[in-house]
Amino acid sequence: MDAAAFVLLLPVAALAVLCALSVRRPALAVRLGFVPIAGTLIAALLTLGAVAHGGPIRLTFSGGSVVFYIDRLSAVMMAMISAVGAVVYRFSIRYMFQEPGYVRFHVLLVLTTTALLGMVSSSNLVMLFVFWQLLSWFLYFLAHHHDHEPTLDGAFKTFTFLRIGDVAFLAGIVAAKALYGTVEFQPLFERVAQNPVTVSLLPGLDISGATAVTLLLFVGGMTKSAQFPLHVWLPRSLYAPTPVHALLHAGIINAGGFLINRLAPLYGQSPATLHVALAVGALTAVLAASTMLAQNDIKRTLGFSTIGQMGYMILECGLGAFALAIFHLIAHGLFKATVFLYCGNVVHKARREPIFPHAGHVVEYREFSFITWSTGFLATLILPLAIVLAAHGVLKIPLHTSQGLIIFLFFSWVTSSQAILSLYRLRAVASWKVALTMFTTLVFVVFTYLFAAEAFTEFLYPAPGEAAFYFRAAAIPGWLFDTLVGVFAASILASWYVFYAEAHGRSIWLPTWTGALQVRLYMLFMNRLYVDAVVRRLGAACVRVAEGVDRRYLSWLP
Amino acid sequence: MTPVDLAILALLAITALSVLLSGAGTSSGIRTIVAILALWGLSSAGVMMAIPWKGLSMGAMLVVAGVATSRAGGGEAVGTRGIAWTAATGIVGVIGCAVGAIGRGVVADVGWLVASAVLLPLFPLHGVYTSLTARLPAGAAVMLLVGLPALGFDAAFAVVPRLPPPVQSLVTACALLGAAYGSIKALVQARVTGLISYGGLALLSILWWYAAGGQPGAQTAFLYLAAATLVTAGVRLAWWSMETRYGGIILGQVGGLSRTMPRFAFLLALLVMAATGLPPFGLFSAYMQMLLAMASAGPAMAAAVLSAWLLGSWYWLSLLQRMLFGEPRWDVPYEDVRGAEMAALVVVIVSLLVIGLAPLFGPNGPGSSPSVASHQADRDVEGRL
Repeated sequence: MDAAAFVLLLPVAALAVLCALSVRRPALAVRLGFVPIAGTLIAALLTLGAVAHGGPIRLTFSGGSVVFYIDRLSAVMMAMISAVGAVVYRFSIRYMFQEPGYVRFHVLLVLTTTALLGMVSSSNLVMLFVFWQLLSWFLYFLAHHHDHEPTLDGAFKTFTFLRIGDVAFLAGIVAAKALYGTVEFQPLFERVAQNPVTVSLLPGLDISGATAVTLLLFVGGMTKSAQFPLHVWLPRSLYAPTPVHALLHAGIINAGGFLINRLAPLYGQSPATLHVALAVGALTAVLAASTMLAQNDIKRTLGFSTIGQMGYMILECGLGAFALAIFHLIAHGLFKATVFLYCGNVVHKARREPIFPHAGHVVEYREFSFITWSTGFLATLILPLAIVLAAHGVLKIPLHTSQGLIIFLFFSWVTSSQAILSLYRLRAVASWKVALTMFTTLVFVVFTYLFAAEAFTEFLYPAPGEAAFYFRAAAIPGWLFDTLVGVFAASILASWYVFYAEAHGRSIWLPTWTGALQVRLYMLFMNRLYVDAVVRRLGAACVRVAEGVDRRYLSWLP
Repeated sequence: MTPVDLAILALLAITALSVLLSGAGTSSGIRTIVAILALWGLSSAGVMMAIPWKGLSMGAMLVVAGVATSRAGGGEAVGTRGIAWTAATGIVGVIGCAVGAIGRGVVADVGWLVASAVLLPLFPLHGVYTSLTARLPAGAAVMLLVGLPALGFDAAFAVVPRLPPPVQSLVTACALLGAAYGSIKALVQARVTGLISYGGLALLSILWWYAAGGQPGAQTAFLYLAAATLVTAGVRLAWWSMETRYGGIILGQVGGLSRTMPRFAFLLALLVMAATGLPPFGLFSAYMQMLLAMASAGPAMAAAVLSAWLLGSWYWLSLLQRMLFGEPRWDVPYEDVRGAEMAALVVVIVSLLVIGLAPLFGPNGPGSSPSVASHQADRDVEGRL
């Protein structure tokens, strides 16, 4: 039997062990359950190797009715999910010990992991939708582990919001069937490419069939990946146990990015949807990052950090960098799972040490170091420009036609600048080590993007010209890209100016009204843009309207 | 007897078995058992009979149901005007049966349409269904939740394709209105029996939409009918267990059952999972098949049907949330479901699972459209009707 089959069957074995021993030996059941879960990880890694060398695998069950399709994308996602699933399960064995519903919790963890594995290996839209919905349902029960009011409310809102996405997803499936007559991936991609169909929404408002289908599916992806304004469920589910968050933030929430990659040939036919994704992703990234800065709760801060990262991932998809989004979601998933699994320790430590920072903490004197400052300035503004010019002039790379390279360079610039500015804020001391770290950061990030991410793109989309086709489909107008570059360059310049001025005791002149605006913005972001409140009122208004309609107009009917 | 007729008989037998098991678990009296067997016999006879004799059974069912409702208590779910409306629709249904049996051509078809619209609830003739299932004692209500639609199903799918297009459009409009009406009413119900009845109306209205869409798919439609009726019957059976313990309580009066009645909570969670249209249960697979078959019906209609589905998720989940979670009341005694009650619910859940997984083992896997052969088979069934 293929190793891929074990990836899907071993979680079932884990469930069997958990159910068989749950009543008499719950602790043993949970411990033994880890064996097949670890086996799933080994099988997933073997599958990744097999797919990388031997091509896609088709697993057929029940006489061909159920087909799992495992290509490189599926295999990578399977390895990532089973790795996170195994770590979270192992962590939960001790973390959740003696909690009520100990076995039930682990059963739900395994079910969620199984649904994720099924989702990434689905061979058609309906199958993907089956696992997509099951994820919502299992998450609802996982979020319910504690019986206090905000938890219950959060779990209900989580499922309700995810259901909105499910409905949009289902509408997308129906549209695909209506317009192209199939929901199987490969025939669908072929028909979309060969038969351009137009859909008339209103008189004079026509959109392509691919855009109609992809937009509806994208709304489904938006809810799972917590994109603004459908992100509300994520911060509300934060009362769930910590392992749930590790799995949620490292696995479930990546569903949107995976969906776009899975349907890349379909999204490649719809520049309009990619532009919408770009806008939604950018808006989510900016708003979530700003909201994160104003939160005073560690889990909520991490929650908004995840939303921001998901925005970034969708933004990458919107620019046609599909493989980069997968690269990003894997890196983010591993990082965020670690952070969430550790955050319990931080909270615990903070509770045991009420005076925090402790009494012996020495505040480091911050002096201005010209070398550190100028190294940072050089690494974030001058060197990136030099790299671009060298690539164009010395290496003779035609940048105006190499959209993929430009995108990668842009992201490496943004990421390295963010890292260097953060480093300067943390350690703005005169030290060659700091300066060297800045250069190392730049080199590391640029090489990661240009070589690792490029190699990963080649790995996921090996067909000649496929990745370039997606970049072309997502191409944005030159002026917009120039504006983005200008805005980022201005932001970086302003940051260095602020650091310089603060270090020299100079005040930065700003109009007086900006002070009041700053306070208002802080309040706005601290209250998470009041989106939660709006949603709560909207829900209550819906119920009130239904009651009013029933009382006034429907009471005479049976 | 066609395969669909046999399947309907099996559905009725499964329901009767579940009700009897649940009745045994709740120590119901001999009158309940006799009533259940009578309703089962009446509805099964109706399914087995050919037109025009089927009308006799349909009419008898309506008369029996009307008499039973007038004697039943628990009228909070339906107002006085509602009862009048229900009685009127019941009479219209009986007249429809008579017209269908006596008349010829379009007149007969319209007669059968009216009669079947009363049994398989179609807005605004749904009163009999909602009143009976909300007001009658649990055993009879469960039998009728399945029996009435099963009896109306045959006639509906035989007649609707023959009707003139304007009448079909009217049926479509009524179906969509019914889905919206049922959803709104279910959303505002405090009584679980009311929620189940109106939820059932919303679910079955979608079946009418499918019938009026001219899609050849009696098998698909039957799967949906079986799943929708079994889901509502299952939730009603579960609520019967609660009624046995706590009498006529309303939603939210007893919560936290996941801790105090774990077996009941598990089974109810599975039933609500099925009711919200989640896989792997029958409602999901049948709904998907119907939606994909009706994909060309237009975005407005698809949006209406999907909205009903979304609202369904809301009120079914609300039922689950308020019963299973939260702090349990420590001033009331809790007793988990007994063996027979559990067996009744397991029978329903397993049946829903079988309906849901059946397409996987048939000629059409998930995602594939029904083959020409199966369409032809469906057409043959309709032709016979």
